[in-house]
Amino acid sequence: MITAVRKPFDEIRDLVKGYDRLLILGCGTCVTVCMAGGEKEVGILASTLRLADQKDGRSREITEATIERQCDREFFDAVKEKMAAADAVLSMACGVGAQFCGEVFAGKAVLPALNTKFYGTTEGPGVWSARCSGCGTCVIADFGGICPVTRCSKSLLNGPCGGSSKGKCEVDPANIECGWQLIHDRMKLLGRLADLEAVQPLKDWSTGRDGGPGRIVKEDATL
Amino acid sequence: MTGIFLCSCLGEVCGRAELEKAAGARVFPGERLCTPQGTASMAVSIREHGVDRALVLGCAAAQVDAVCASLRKAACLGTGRVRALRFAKRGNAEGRAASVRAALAALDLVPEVRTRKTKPNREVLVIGCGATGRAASEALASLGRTALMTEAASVTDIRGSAGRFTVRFRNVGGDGENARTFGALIVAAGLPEPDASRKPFVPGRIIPLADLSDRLSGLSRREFPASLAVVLDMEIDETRAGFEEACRACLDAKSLRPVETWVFLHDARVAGPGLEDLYDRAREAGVQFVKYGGRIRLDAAGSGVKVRARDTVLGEEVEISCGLAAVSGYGLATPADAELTAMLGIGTDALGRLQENNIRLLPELTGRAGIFVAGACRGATYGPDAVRDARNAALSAHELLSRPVETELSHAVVDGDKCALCLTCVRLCPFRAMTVNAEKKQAECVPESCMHCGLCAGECPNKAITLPLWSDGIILALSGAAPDAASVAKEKRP
Amino acid sequence: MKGGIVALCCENSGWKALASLGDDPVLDGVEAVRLPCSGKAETGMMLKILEKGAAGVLVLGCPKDDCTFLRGSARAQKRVAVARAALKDAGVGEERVRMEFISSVDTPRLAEAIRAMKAALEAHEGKA
Repeated sequence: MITAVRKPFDEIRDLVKGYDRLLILGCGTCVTVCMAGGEKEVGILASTLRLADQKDGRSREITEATIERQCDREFFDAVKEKMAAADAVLSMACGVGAQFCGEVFAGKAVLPALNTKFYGTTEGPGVWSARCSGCGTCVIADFGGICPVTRCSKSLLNGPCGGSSKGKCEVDPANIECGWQLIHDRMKLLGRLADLEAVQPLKDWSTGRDGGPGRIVKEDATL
Repeated sequence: MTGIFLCSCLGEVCGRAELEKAAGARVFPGERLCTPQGTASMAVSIREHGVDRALVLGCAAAQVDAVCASLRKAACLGTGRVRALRFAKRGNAEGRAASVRAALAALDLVPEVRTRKTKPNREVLVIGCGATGRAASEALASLGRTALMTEAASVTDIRGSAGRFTVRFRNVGGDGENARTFGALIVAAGLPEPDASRKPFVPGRIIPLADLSDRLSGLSRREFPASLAVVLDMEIDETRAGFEEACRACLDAKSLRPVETWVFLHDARVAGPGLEDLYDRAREAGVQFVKYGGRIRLDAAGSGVKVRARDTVLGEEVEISCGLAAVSGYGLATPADAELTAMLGIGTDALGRLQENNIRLLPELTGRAGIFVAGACRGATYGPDAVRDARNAALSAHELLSRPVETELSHAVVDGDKCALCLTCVRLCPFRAMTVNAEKKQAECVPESCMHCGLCAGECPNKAITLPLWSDGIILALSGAAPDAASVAKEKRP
Repeated sequence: MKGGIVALCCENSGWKALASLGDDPVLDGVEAVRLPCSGKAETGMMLKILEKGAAGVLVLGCPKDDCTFLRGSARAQKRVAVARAALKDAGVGEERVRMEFISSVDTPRLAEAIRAMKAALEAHEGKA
């Protein structure tokens, strides 16, 4: 799923300082799962802002709501009135939802409360790590099911660099595993070590973000 | 209707008029409400006036919990529908009125709670066929209960809850699987044997103590070592099991051939039947015991083994060379089998053994009702301890299955619309009471396993879980932080 | 100290310890709210209680290896940490939320903890 973390409070407070009627809008999908923007986090942020306002002697209206997700238009119907009554929306969705919210309610100030990070997996409660970079041409089959673009700090496609030591990446040995060690070990397990000798050609990065803003049209699904 | 029972002991402290004004509920004055007579008179009023929620107000001497419990029983009121407040002689009218309002608001939000009865499956599965498993099966048999014993390796899946666990087994031939239902599980799976090919072992030189006697009996006079060292407490302090094994192994060795034997240990553990005697015999036979502190070092150098440790009696480093060294497995921090641990879904202690470090679980309980642990797999390696464990587990399993399970349906409730299936509650619940309902595409609570602790509700990132008797509304009302009377009243009165 | 202290107490430990304190004046201004386990206490709830005017929230749970529900007080500790961080962010003082691990018979320590919290809150108020 898409993972995100909440922006530091001071930054958020600064973003919303000019608004007197604020709606904090949560999202019930990815950011709920990575515990950054579900109803619980909305409540905590709202209370923190209200307490800060109380201290500053500022009387401001802060309302809360959480919808299923902010990347599909229909879910905003449930909060139409609340949106209309607010002069700004602080979206706790990922970058996608936060933007789409602004598209659905054109003319309404929509501010992001989160920093969106990566496409990742839940390693365990409270721990998420990246697996995919959305490069647009998935080649994990050549690497035993492991993505060198995402899991190697340098996105190397033809083997590790000299910074690989004891299975760790020199960028952050405590936290980052060497992607190429993982690939090597996996290919060995699969009995395919010899396949790594094939040279991976230059990657066409234009199929991902580097080719410009993405767009997918599935003709048979269009109405 | 909510009734407020006002005890005369509060006389000057809290007047009836003051209450009726603050509360807007019917006030029943009474005397000595904390006594059985008081309870009886309250119960009469409750029945006569159709009161379904009660608030009892008394002086600071009253035992709040006891009063609630006896009144609930006498008047047949549902769980959570009786509250009691104690007022001290100090304090002001405004504070008291606020407390009464808070308690009434909370009472208003308590839903009706039903109970359900289920009959548990009568059979017990004992996982582990060693001495502990056998002891458990025998104990169960003597209690008139059927037990099935199996090796842990044959078990492939464990699901369900107390009274109805579904266990899948690998078939004996190796192909295919079988499933069966049990009321309770007793885990007596022991600990994995230490891997003799990995540290601290060196094949042929530093071997597991359990293999010593066999190895020695296979050696010729020429191959037999002139001296051997037995090492206890290598990573963790031994139980008596290791000490017993060491003494016996040394006596066995000496009975084969004259051999100088050393036993390195932190402490001699003789507090068990026959251990003191065994120790004496070992010493008489010439076994040398060295008490060491801290870590011990073994080096398979040259043709023998060098053992280095700090002798706590002499207060100095000692080093001996011997032909063969044996390390007790009981002194190694071996965790329980990881696959079994995962299947059981119970917490482990710091060593990875099958019982969390919580005194409420001793000796045979785990976080999951109906799953009991006994013996080495929970760290009780010494024989008599393990047998006692097995008997405790058998008794507990027997008790559990001897009556129908009556469950109050006030368990955690998941709102399917809000549930994102993030699995937080499923992973968090210490009692494995949360499961995934694949059809409804949401997490769901198993009422019979729910302990009503509210950890799930507190952790859910989308606030999709409610504990009905302890809902947010109730807690906020009690803390005087309810939004306001009007919106509390708007929250549907169940 | 304006507003009171709301004590969110686990019914197995804090609630019993508070009951044992009976009529003790240390409990003046302390509103006890019973929970099935300190693990039910949520960050959002602690903050809401403060929003509504309480001076402080004291979360009382069992010592961690004694928790009836195994992990409740450990979870509560983490949630209190989040609440304290939020209070620090808001600039209203992290001492307004505190967690104490107290067994049901440890009344002297409970009384001491309440006194300490009241003192900290008064000092904070004095500074503000």
